[in-house]
Amino acid sequence: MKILESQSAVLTNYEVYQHIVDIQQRNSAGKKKRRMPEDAFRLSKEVLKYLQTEPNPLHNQKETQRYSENSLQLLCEKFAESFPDITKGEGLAIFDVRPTNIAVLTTLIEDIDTRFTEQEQQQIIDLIVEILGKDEPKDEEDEEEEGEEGAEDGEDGDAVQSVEAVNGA
Amino acid sequence: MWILTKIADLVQLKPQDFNKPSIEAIEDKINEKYANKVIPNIGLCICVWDITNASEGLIGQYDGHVNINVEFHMVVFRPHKDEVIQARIDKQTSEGIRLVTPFFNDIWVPSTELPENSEFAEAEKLWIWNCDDQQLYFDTHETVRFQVIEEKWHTQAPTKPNESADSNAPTKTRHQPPYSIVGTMAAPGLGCCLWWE
Repeated sequence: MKILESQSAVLTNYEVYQHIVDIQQRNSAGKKKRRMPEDAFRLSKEVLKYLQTEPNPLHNQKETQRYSENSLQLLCEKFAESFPDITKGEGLAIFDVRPTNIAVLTTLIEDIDTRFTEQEQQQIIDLIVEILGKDEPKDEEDEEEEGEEGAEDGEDGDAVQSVEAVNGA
Repeated sequence: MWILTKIADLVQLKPQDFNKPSIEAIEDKINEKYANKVIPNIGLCICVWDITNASEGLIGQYDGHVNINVEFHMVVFRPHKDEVIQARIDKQTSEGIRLVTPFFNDIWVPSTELPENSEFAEAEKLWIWNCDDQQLYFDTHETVRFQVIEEKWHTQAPTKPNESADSNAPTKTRHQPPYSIVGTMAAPGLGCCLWWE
């Protein structure tokens, strides 16, 4: 074994999610069902389960298809346009976590209070919600421990984009 | 949280794998070897991303194995410093909180990295954050967000064989995880996700 490049790229949660979903689809398509070797099979299932746990924004990706290559690009473009101060790394972190309030946004952007006014912070949140959507608040006062993914659909239903074979590279 | 690592390795296909398409057989072999393994200073390997290059297969003289030099990208779990990720509370002691994800169990938040004015309730075995005049509980199994502050690598040295007369006596070695993460929850926006909804 030889490590050629220890880090040739950084992947977003969405890319890993889509990669595993693609593998599962490919393996169950066709007459001959295929399965990954035991460890890889189990691990990728666990990673998928992790990514589908609320409040991870991918928890209802299956229904809403809110995340795609396009939405990432759109988010980066909008940030470059309105908030060029946000670094690429911060943009990716926002894409992964999808903060829908300022408290969570604070953890992703360094020195947020000196770099952006409160109004700008709210504008960033609005932009995120516009592109990546948000979860409708639930009526029950308490969530179950094992956040059931995809239980509710909410307002996201109208923005279905179909994305296929994004991992061709 | 995830990176791609480019690795070169020799893959040996046995004759019984010849019925599979080569690309699948190679991918399976790599996944078999790497998935769920920690490479020191790289991270936890998840699965193959793509295969970028493969040599002609050379058949070994004695065993009939086909030897192929392969270059591939591996999906690796390696959160970078300051990254904010989500996990679940697994166990709490007076020293801190252990967090887990379904695939990775070695995340530790020491008591010094909990929000200010946090205290450990010995009876319930959980941490409580006294925020203003409110008491917020770190309930076990609750989903939390934390920020990575440090990573620890540990290479397990081989241990001496058991020399005692009773060969069945279990060897007592403390298991040290090869890769563990230290995190913090002492900032607004971190801690139980529900608090910040």
